[in-house]
Amino acid sequence: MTDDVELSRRLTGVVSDLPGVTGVYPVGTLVRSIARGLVDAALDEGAADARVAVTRDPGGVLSLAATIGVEAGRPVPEVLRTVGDAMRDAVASTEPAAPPPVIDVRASHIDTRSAGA
Amino acid sequence: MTPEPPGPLESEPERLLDGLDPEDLDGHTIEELGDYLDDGREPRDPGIEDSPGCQIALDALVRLRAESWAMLEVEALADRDRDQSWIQNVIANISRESRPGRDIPVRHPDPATRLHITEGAVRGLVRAAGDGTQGSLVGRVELAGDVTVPAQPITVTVTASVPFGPNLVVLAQLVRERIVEALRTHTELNVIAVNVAIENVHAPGTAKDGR
Repeated sequence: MTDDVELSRRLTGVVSDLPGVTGVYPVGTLVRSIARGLVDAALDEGAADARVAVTRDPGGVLSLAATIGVEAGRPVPEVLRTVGDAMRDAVASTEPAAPPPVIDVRASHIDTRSAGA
Repeated sequence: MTPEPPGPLESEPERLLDGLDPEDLDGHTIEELGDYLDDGREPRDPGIEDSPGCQIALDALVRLRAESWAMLEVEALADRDRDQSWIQNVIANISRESRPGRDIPVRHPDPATRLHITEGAVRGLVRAAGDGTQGSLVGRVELAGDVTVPAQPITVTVTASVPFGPNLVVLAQLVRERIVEALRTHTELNVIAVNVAIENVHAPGTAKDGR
């Protein structure tokens, strides 16, 4: 499990650094939990930068899910495809023997403040 | 003497709205977001800053305040009931439309890579494209059709308040063109129509002059 947290943290960093990505959001349920103050652990510094959801099925297949913000200066589909490819490459370099992961990337906010929509 | 509480038009626009479900915005009300803006987004609230829905709503509230609130406030002095009602609807719509909604697919050659844009993000994009177009203010954004299935025909309907003066047909067309361009750039939706319905006309030029 610790390995998966570390993988999530690494993927969060990879995605955050990509052009056009304004941020990586925690999963929705986590946000609501934080807002309600119900999950103190969610605010632990150790997990705050691990925002890509990482799960494994019994066969060891990874499922990765990231929710991102995108700047309007770049086409959102282009950014989404770049993020998906970068996550796949990052897993391949980390776990070269693992089966290909299932990747889900969702753009939940398009930032129009710094560029024309 | 105790000062009278401010009337609705002296307070922030989002205070005109009551009774919204906090679940709409990841546990926050639109009034809380207004207060957060008042405080300059300090201290940083991770529950707001880490919520895409709150970010969409904050973007819209900032535009509403910066570009349109003074304009509508002045106008409302002449027809208070009508404009308060219209503003209330705008704020309610911002809150409702900022929810994630449906997942809109984006193609990827690898079937194991699934990409989506949330409906809330697209509604926010449409609103941003229309807001401020020669003083226009978007009231409501609707995406009709099954946006979850690629290539399905989608109709976008937007209501707007526009300044008195410009040719309404030309202005509506300009709003429409900006929305079409934004959707073409940022989505793979098969948009077959963008309808712009002007449902309110306000005094021109007061947005910048009023503050």
